Amino acid sequence: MIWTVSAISLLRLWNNKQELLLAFVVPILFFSIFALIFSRGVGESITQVRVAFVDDEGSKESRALIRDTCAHREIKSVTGVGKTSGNWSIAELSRFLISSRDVEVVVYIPAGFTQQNPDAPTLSIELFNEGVNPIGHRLVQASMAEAIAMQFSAASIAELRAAEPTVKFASATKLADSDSAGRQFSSANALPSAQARSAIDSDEQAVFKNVSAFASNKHQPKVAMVAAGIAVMFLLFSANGAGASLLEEREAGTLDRLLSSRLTLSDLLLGKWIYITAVGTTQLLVMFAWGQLAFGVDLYGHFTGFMVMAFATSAACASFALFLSAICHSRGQLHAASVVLVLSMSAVGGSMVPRYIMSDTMKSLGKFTFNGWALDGFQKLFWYDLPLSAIRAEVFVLLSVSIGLALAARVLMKRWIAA
Amino acid sequence: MLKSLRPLVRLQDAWAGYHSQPVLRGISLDLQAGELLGLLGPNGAGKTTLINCIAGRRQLDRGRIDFSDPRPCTEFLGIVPQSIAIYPDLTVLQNLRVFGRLHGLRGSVLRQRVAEAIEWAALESKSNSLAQTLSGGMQRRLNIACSVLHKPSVLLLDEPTVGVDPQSRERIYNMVEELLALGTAVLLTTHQLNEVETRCDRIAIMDNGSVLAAGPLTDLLARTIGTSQQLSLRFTSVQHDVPAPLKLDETGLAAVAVIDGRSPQLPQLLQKLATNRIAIEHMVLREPTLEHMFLHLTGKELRE
Repeated sequence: MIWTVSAISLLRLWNNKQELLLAFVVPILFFSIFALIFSRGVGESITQVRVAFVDDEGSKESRALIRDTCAHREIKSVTGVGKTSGNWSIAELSRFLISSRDVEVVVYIPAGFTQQNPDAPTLSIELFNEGVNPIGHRLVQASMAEAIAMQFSAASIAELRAAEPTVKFASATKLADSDSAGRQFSSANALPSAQARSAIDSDEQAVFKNVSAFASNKHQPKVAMVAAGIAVMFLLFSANGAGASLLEEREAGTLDRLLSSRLTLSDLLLGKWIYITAVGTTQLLVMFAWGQLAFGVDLYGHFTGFMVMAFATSAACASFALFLSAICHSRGQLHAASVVLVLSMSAVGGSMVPRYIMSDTMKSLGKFTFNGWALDGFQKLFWYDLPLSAIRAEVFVLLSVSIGLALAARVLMKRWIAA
Repeated sequence: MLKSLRPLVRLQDAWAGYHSQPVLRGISLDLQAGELLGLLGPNGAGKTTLINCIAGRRQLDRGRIDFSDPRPCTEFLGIVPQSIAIYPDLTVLQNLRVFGRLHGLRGSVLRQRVAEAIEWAALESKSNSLAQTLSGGMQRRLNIACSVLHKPSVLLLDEPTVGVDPQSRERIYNMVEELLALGTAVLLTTHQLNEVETRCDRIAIMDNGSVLAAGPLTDLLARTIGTSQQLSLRFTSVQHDVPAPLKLDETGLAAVAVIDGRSPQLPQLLQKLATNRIAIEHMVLREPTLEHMFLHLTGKELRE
């Protein structure tokens, strides 16, 4: 008897392919996604920090410093080496590069850095970081320190002993000695003599100056990003729940009745789309309003941009839900498909795991998700404090996808009438 | 009895199919004002496709459907689906209001029609109850009421009495009678032969996408099986072969045949059974009914 009860459950599971999928395939899928994220990606073993170098010195030494820094696998130079123009300050240029060129750290080498008087250093390498990735600029700093130290060790010992090293290089040696992992650099550490060490005993802050390109005067931007990540994921789930009403109406025969009234299929879809979009936008608004009340998220200061992003995100989620409903034959099928797709998109798109720890390939995959585009938009608003015009790409993509999926859903639903 | 000779719907040589497989094969049929036309047919006969074509949900491949009403069919046509197609999580009142709005009713007209519909469906005491809390019969009545708010001149009723008790069934047919009295043409599909026999003015029997016969029951009986009667026999032992036109059932203990009651067919058949030493335990001879006619025309039971 007991075995029969077990057998019944087993048979029901076997006959219900959606449930079978959720039970066995989804765990494997998610294990794979998170394994790829935490093992640092597809086809890559490391997470690279995307760095832009601005070299106002332009000397042989500074170029060598950049070259040696980029030799580290963890560093990826994304825009090459350039100089500040006369029109932009380095801070403005950094904000531009970070917000629009997918750069995490901007390294600024001021003119005369390697040539300055070691006894009275006045110039520092400035590291402008986006603030989202807490380890990116530290990694760059350590790598640069190591590069400086390697240049230093390459110089003749005689020159070192003559106590004429560039003071900054020497200081970096100390910094690298203590901060970096050592490795091949450890032998170089033996090079500086006590004399040299004493000569370079200066504040390491004089070498590297870390500057937050955006996060000053911020009101809990991290909470805003968490809220955005969670909100988009739940928006996708709730949109799919609302989209399921179409299949429910179809299964119950209500759709026949609706379509035998003056309502057309396009009216029906548009009505559903407006509802899901309005509810989604309200959900986001409520979540961020709570974020402002409870956690100090600056919703009020970004209200217009927020509403535009919330609408675009909700619109995309609504169309996605309608499209899924159109391609599925039953609510069970829709449930299985939405769980798999929403969780996958959320994992890859950054709703579950910060994207800065992902490899470039995984980050690129994130561009195929609503979450990725939505988070980029919210990040520009709440973290980078960028104006409305800065999120036009995100809004354009989300709204285009929304229109495309809604039209596809409309075409696919024609078969419902013919059935 | 026909209540009018004005056809509201006329199908002429209607053909329709799925994936080049014809489901309707040249259907010609009239539906007249104030008439209750019963559409009978086994599953897969094409009844639902026919209803969808009349409702405009499907295009004909060939032939035509003419309506006497020049308005778009959504304005004068009402459809009651077989399933209870209402929103279970809305109240009776809310369901009626939303479906009224979808049929273009607004303001005082909508309020008046909703009030009339609640009274007509005898749901006054339940107007603020969620539809899902109603009994099956009440839900069926609400299901019909939602389809007639715009006062359609043609109503397509797809098995409106499935799963309801006799009292609710009676109430539903009373509602239909009231619509008929107002001149509404009603096309009824059902598996309840007794309902068709007793309620419908005309009957159309469909099979394999064709209308095999259509007309008032008495005319149909005379035209199809005429004076035939159904003979049912039960034997004392299992039989493997019986003389024609008897047809053995799967147990081998019973057989049926349609015979001409006015000819000597019955005595001859009984004589043959006696000759073959087949002992009869029980014998019934019935007058022709719709069921006999259906069997005669389609060669199968309605629920096959």
